[in-house]
Amino acid sequence: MIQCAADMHIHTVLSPCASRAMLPQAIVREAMDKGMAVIAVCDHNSAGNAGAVRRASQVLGGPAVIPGMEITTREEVHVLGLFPTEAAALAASDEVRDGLPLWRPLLPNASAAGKRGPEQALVDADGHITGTEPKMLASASAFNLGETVSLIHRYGGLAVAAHMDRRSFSVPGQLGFLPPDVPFDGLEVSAAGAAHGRSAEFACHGLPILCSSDGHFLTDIGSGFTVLEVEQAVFCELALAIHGSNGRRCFLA
Amino acid sequence: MNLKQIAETLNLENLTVGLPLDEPASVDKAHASDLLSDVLANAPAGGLLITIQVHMNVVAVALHAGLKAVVFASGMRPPEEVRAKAVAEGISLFAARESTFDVVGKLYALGLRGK
Repeated sequence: MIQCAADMHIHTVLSPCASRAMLPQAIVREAMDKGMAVIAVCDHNSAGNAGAVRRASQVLGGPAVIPGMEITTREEVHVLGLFPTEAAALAASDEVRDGLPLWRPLLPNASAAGKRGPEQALVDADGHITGTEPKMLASASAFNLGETVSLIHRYGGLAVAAHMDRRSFSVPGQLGFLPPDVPFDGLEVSAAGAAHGRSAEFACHGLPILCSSDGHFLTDIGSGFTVLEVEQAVFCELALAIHGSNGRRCFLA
Repeated sequence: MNLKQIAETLNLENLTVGLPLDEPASVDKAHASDLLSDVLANAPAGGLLITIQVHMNVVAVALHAGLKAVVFASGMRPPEEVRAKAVAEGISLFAARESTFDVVGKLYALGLRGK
């Protein structure tokens, strides 16, 4: 068994709220500098840039890259989906994308005045822009919480309730408490929450607690991480670690 | 005013037919919010909740906060399992076509107040 650090919630330039510097090679280099053996790319409501980061990491000899997505449910709860393959992530992403509204200018005549929404850039492994996402990724998807977790599971993914310790966009914030009938695989606490001992609050749910950076800026990467005790840094081992099976486990440092 | 009078005055659709609405106890408090953590913290016991949140947790939170009824605004309708749970727990549910703003305005005009 090896122990490896995993930051499984990192945004790219595709997320409207992320830094324009969140490009594949820069993300990979930052993750390598911080000693991350596993990262997951989780943009809002899209897995469109996950493959590019994975390819950049392969070229640079960087961490294992899990393709993921941070889905906004109809209740405006953020749920992380971590997927076994890029194809699975993209298929789930397409279903989420279908229910999103098109980006529309917030001000009347904003387009005419040259004021546009955030770029939401799709990039290749070298960081070149290959397209822009016209759907509003910051919006709520058409799926409610239960449907979102089902969607993730249907594509073989792991469903993690994001930043449980935050008031905004968390299950406790939006819904008061964790619904007992939604089969999450894990609960995430933010880096700040973990540093303030908040992870203990969620131990009562009997689910593994993960910590990640929710990185929107390069310097965020690795500020929160989970330790995986696994045979190798691959998705199926991650799934075993999260479920605590076959001697694999995950824990906070 | 009791629930029956409020529902009739605002022309609310009763989603939990069968639950008694004409209890003599008047409803004079209400809270409007879509964040259930805020409802847990701030909704007045015995009052109404006006929300567009239709998740199952609305019923559990209403029960915990001791609310009498929930009004779903803007034409929002909860799934059937939410309705069934509300019936089982004795929480009345109503649907309003109007927005939260308009429903709240009318309730205020009827004399209902926040916490």
